Amino acid sequence: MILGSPGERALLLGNEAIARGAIEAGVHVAAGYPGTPSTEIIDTLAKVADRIGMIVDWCVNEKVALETAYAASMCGLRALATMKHVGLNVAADVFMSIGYSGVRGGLVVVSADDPGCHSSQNEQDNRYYSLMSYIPCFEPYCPQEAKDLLTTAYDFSEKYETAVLFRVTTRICHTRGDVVLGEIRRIERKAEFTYNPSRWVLLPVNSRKLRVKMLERITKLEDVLSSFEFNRLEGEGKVGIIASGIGYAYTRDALKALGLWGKVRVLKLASSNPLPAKLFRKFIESVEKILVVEEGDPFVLRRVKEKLFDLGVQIPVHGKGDYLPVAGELDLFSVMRAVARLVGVEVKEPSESISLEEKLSGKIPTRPPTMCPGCPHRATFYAIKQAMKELGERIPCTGDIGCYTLGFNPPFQLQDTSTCMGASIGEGAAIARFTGKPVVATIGDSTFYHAGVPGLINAVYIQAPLVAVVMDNGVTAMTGHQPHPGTGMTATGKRSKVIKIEDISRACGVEFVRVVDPYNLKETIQVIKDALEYAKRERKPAVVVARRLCALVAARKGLRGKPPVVEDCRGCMVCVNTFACPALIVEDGKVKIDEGLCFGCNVCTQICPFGAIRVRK
Amino acid sequence: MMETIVISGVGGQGILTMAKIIGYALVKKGLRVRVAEVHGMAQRGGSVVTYIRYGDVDCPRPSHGMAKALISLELLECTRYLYLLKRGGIVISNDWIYPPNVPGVSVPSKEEIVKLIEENTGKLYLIPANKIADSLGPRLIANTVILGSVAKLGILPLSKEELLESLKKNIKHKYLEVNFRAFDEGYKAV
Repeated sequence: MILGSPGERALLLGNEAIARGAIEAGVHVAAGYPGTPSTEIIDTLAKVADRIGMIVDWCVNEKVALETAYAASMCGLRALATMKHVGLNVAADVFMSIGYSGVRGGLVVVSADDPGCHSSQNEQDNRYYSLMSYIPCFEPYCPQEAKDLLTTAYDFSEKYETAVLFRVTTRICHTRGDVVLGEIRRIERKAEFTYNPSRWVLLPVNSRKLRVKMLERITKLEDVLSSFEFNRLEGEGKVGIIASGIGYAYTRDALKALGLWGKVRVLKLASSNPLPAKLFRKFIESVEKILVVEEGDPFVLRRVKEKLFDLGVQIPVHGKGDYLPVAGELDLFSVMRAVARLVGVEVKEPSESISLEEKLSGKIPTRPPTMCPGCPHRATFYAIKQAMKELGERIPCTGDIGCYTLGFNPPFQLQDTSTCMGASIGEGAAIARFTGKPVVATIGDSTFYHAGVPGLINAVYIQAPLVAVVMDNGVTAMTGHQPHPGTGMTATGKRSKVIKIEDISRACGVEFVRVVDPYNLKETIQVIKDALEYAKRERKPAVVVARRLCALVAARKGLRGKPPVVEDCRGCMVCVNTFACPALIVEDGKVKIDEGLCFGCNVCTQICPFGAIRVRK
Repeated sequence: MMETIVISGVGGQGILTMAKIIGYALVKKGLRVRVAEVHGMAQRGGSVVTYIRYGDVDCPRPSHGMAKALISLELLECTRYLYLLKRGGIVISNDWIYPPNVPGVSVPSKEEIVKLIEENTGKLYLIPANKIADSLGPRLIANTVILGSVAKLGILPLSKEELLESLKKNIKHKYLEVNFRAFDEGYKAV
């Protein structure tokens, strides 16, 4: 489907539309690190990479992914880098430099922002990176435009020798929509590195000159973007709306629902930085007040106020912060309410539905996401908790980003911090050093490769009594099972060298390194206790690799075990209250196994204090 | 025309697959479509809600009181999203209750939940989709049972044949046979 014929009308996920856009633009190299809501772009491209001759990589982290794409551009190739919003923080060092150097082959950096924090630690609005780097920012409003705008972005990038920041949000990435496919361009280019030190070497002597060039470029783009086909004026009237990116989708539906379509002047923006100067001046000619509809921070709103100030024009501007909430995602009614307020028409509040929502939330228990049946992380958390119990001490447990962040929830409550990728080790080692007491850091395999290794080197360097438990389930699980350097498999399914966590740990200077199977609770508890005692005694870090394949992957490979049997359950609820596997269900005060859910890991058979849960023979 | 349908359930029940099947059929019908999904952490056994909007639509995310129907694969998740329904909207739900995986959680009884739904909506169709699925094969096909019921009730501007055609395009070949039977049983169940 992703390689369908031009003119075909397909149902595509926003991320698939972006992937198709890259294919249509003749992109040669695509690189990323998995992160919701960006993951399906590379996933989609990886599946067809060999057929279309595209190089598609999952990299160790976003910084390396962007370096890969940037290097492709230096070699004259068209390149795509994809990441979630916080991934661009990791890649920011490269990104800022690309603003200075500009590009040779077209380069687009997709930042998938997550307003509403569906699957992220924050709601940061990455359009600010565009201001900082002087790299223009494009924002599509729907899956169709995501594809078309991305394709156009490559011609734009090469014409003006600038990278493009392509900012999308959850409701673009994870919305399916009807998309009409376009022509697939094949651009034959051979990767050739050109020696151009005044451009690729950012020494002060070059950077000073490049900065001047960069400032000229962004000013020029203000005019260029005024005649950009994705920016336009619509409708008439004295009331104006500036609708940026997906804000335009909400604006359209809100105007139609209010019967105001065509009666309000709309500036539709697909480039939120720089603002198209001429088009903006034309827009403000007839309007007396302005509403800015955008997802995220009041980014365009602030730019608009600045522009009006520069032009000496006094027009009231509303949006995020007064007419629209800054926190969370846009929703249709919020935009309808804001538009109605601006225009001065009545809109019926859905007060009955709002009070119903409140009433229901009091009656229906919340359903937090949970670790799957058979999840090895559940067994590891149980073992950590048990080890602490046996040592008679609650030890701080720094957390990280992945499925195991769910160890925050009862019954484990073993994520005392969770900050960003890799922080469990950096923070854990520092806390252990400051307090002089051992700390347990919990980190996943993919996260360890991504940002855990420098922290571990530092832990050895500062001689911190840290026990790093690397929960190795053999895959980047939470984002949908992507390979990583420990899997011996590339994005496109080719064999590669397996880089082992225990080898890296030893190479970092860790002297206590043990590998355990978390399904074997007795051994895992003992090794964690040994590691804690070692850290305390030797004042040195220890690494415990808890290795067991993700249960979802194992099930797909047909590695499911047999569900255990329950005989003579006394109803003590120890298994339910301390292990909380979703397959343990309670009926009439007794525990039963839901055989449809059970993965057959048999860890619960090691927990029942009365031996009532037994391995099926 | 601007219509909204909501599908809810527990992560892992095949909500996204069901939404994709409906979305695909709507596109083939020539309609403009938006199917808003949520991926990632929320998927792991958490509460999942998907919006399907079609007609003259652009925005993927509706608000309170905008949906003409709520389709659910689990009763608690059905009740949780009732506020998205228009007055008099239709509810089609699996009659299964799956308590959240939280130690010591207290869950209202089925009678209480059904009463709560009936008080706040136009019409409730309860489908024993899990029971039907269990009698046919894997429980995972409960979503297709419900899809069959949705087809019978004529909530969508799609014929039975159009939905079946989409099912064929979006389900792996080896699972088709059992899904067709699930669809038929769901169709007969209302």
